[in-house]
Amino acid sequence: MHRLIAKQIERARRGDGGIDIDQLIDLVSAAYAEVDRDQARSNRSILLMAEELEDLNASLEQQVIERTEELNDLKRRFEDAVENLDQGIMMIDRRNKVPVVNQRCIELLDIPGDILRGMPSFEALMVFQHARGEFAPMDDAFRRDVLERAHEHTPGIFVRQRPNGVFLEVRTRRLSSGGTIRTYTDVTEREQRTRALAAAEQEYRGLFENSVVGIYRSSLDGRQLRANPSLVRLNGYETEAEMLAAVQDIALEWYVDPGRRDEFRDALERDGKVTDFVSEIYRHKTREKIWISESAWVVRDNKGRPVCYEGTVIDASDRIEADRKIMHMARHDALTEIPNRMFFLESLRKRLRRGRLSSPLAVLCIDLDRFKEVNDTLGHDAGDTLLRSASRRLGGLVGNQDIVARLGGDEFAILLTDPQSDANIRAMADLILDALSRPFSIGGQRAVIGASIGVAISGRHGDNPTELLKNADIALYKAKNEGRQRCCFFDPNLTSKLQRRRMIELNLHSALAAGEFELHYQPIIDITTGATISHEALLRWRHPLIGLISPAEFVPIAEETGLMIPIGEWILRQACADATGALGSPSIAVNLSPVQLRSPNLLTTVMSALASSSLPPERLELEITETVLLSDNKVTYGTLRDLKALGIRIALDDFGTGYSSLSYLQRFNFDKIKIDRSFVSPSQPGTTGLAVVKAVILMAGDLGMDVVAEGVETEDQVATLVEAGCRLMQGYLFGRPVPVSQQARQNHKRPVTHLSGTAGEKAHEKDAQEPVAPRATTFKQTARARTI
Amino acid sequence: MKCTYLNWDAAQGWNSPPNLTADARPPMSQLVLYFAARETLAANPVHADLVARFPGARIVGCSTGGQIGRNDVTDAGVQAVAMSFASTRIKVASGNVIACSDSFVCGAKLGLELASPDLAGVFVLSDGLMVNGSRLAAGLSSAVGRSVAVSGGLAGDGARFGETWVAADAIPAKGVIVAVGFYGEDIRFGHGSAGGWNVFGPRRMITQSIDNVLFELDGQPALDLYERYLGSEEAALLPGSALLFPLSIRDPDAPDRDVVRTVLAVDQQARTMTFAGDVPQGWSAQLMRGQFDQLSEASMKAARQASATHTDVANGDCLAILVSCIGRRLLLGQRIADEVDAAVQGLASGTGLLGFYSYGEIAPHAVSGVPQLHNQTMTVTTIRERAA
Repeated sequence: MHRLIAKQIERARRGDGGIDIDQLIDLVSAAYAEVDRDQARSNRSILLMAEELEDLNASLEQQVIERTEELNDLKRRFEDAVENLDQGIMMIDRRNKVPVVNQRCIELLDIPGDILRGMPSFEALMVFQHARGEFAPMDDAFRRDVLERAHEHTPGIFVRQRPNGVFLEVRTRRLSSGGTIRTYTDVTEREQRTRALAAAEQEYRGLFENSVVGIYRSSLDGRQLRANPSLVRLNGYETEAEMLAAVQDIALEWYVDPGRRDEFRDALERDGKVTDFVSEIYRHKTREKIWISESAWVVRDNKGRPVCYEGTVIDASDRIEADRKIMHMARHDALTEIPNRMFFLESLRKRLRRGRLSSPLAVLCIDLDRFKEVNDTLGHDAGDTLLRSASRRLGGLVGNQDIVARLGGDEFAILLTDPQSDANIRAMADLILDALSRPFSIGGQRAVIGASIGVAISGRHGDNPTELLKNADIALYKAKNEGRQRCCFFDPNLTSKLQRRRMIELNLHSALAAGEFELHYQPIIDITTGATISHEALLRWRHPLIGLISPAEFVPIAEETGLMIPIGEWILRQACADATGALGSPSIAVNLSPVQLRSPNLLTTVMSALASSSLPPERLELEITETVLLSDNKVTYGTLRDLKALGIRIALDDFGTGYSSLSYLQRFNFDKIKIDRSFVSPSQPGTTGLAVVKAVILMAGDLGMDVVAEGVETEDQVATLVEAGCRLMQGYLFGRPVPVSQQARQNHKRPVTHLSGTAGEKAHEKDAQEPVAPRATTFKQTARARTI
Repeated sequence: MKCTYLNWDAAQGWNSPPNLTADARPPMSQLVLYFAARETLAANPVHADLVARFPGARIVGCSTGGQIGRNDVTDAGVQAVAMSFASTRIKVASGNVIACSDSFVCGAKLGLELASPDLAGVFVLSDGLMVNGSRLAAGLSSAVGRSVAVSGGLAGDGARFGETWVAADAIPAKGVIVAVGFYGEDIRFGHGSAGGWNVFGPRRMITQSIDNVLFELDGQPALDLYERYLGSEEAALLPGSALLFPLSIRDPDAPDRDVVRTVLAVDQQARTMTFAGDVPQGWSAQLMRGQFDQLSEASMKAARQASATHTDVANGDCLAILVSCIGRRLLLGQRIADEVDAAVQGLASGTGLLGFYSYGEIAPHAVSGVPQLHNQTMTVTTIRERAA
């Protein structure tokens, strides 16, 4: 029995043990009713549940539709975004498939569309690309990685080059979902720029590293930032790092003069750059001092603010040394290495400025006597050695404060800074004379010279260097004039004549080259015909400042200094040229000085003058005086004979004024005699002069010589001379000596004057027979000058 | 421990079960538990009788939705048990509750009164309509600590849901909570609880609720749903008929810990339903259905669980207190005895039992052990003393 019914029976049991059927039926009915209700409840529940589920389904479906639409929207937006990127995008999912590839990626990687259809695996894609040579520009290691799927370990960003040359930047990012996103960007331009930059940098690095010039960069406050190997070496270091570590502050440690740093910086700030900034610096490591030349500039940012300095450094020690040498050479005599004129004058100026009147300076001009002889006899090398020795001897005599200088040639100068007294000066001068008189040993030879000294003292004899030197020089001149081997103090009273003499002497040297000489011509005429038969060439000197200087003044000096030789040569050339040229004279007479005659080159010179002027020798006459013949030199006579042999006429000038005029006539066959003016216009009129003239003319006539009377100034004189039988005359009456350009004015014919007696007839006859033919006549200017 | 079972009915008055002789006075009883319908308690001086019979004992009881005795479930009469302990002490704490919101505090106060290092277990009987059972359980548990087992139930009032009474060692009254603490090393408790109800239908979201008052499911008034499922006939019997469809609710963050909730009251105007425990907003809820066999099986399972914990040899009697749910009674109808039988089968032989149908069961959660309010559940608490 079902336990329920058992229970129900128990419930329905009456107290007497019987069962209340009605109650039992009720209980059972109730039980059935409960079951029915339960059943109904279940059914209802199921139905309702089904309904609800359907509703839920419908709403879920609706949700799905909405979500799907949302997803589609999202997908479209995503696709739009991805397709419009400038980068290529590739997505690789967990299973290594490639679900997303945008168009740009396809373009960049040049992948055909079919490959992507059906969502290939990333691996397959790599294999395909590899087979097409995609990775050819890369190295083996890269290609291996690609094939072995080591791409999983590829770096997050790398750049590779495609076969078409394009550079791709490939970025890989792992996603939390396990997939990967790859982007590809065309960075060709950037890559090219980077490479160009690297190449440029390499290039400049090359320059930087290898430049001989030191290159640096420093901060605005003086710290060194970069230094190239040259600069590192210049500073005595091995490596840049070593140097940068050692150098703390340029200003304090580099420039010898710390203020130089400020000057440098000021210049930079002012001009923005500095060029050839020369300073003395310490070679940093060794502290050795050297000179450098720096160029530097300010580096600015794009807003114009200073960022740092850059510059170059060159070792300028050589240049400074060279400059020094030049300075030295400019101030020192090359041969003797003692100070030169410039230095002497500078020092003198300085000392004068510093000095006081109480302690004057003394300037000594010293000239070596007979130096020229040494030079001529022993040679120029010997002369040089002599000068050096002399300078050393002089140097040994003076004190530390004094200066010995070589002014030039064989001239020295000494500056005594504090001689204290004239006596001291003289004592020193004696020492000098003594020292220079002692023999010099030159290349085994003995040379003995002497000296002359001129002294000028500051305050008394001048207060500026030029004046002092000039006056010392004049004093020297006086010493030389008075016989040499002596010391003379400057005397303000020294005649201006001496000064003038000195001046002439000084200027004479350059006069010839400067073209300051002129030849004036005085005619010699034949009184019987009135024709000019010759011109005497007379030397004149027109100084640009002083004016005409009389030959009486300068010719002796020229002869003393030997300048007469070149001057005489010039005279010859010019006179011959004028004779055939502008002057157009039948004959030219040129005076010869003794010096010329002694010169071995005289013959050559004369011949050369004749040749270059095309003057026939017969039209040239050379006049010489007795002094020439005094030396009684065989060479002299020999030369005269040679000259005469050429056809040149030789005349004896100033006849009658010398000691033994007549005897000279014996020694040589002169062509002409020139009677001195003193006979023509004697100071004491009388008959003696006339008698002499007559006698000379007769004698000359017998000897076959012509006779010219000089200094004819009046008609009376002419008459007298004509009476004496003199036919040829020269003097103011007939013409003064004038330059070629003025000859035309003076061209006058003197009236023919009959000569009395046979002499005159003879002369006239001569003239009648011969046309106005050139007859050798000479112009002469005696040593004893006629003033113009 | 010694248990003396007795019952009372209107006809015969108090009588003990036949296996106990009336004159063999049992040892001094310290505790008496009794259960009866409210009408019975109202009409008869039950409490006074027990006080007279067991002087010196604490007398604790409550009104029910039916009493469970050895053989059957009855509505009339009284089921009681008198317990004397060899070494275990007991203490009774009680309090009044004015409003549901006091539930946690009341529980905590009672717990604090009882708390002691040697407190082994607590049995609680509470007013069934004015109390939030889950808050009460939480409050008690927090005060006595995790290691102390708490079980008990909410008093009932048949299917009327009018008033429930609790006797806290005093005349039964409403708004009372009583907790009995058992102290000592020898007292042993066993617990088991099982429902046997199955969820069905779609999972719904509790879209609006406050504490244990449910407003809306899935945006619709919850009452609408219930009325639809009950049908017009049974809907008229709300709130009682709502017991047929308990709600299984669960926290979406802890999906494997379901809780069953029973309707206590219904507000037709507001369209709200009040449950015996919290129905938190945001949790998901599913309707449940019960089937006879499964309910019975659950009872057996619960009984087995409660018995299984006892490994020591018992000294004396073993008592099983069954606190089952009014909802089960309503569903099972006449076959309610099946579940008691099943429970008896699950218990160890020789175990005495009594119990009642409540408006909510308090027992440790089967998995976590934390005392909780259960609904629609058969809970079994076994008590025995260890052999000395």
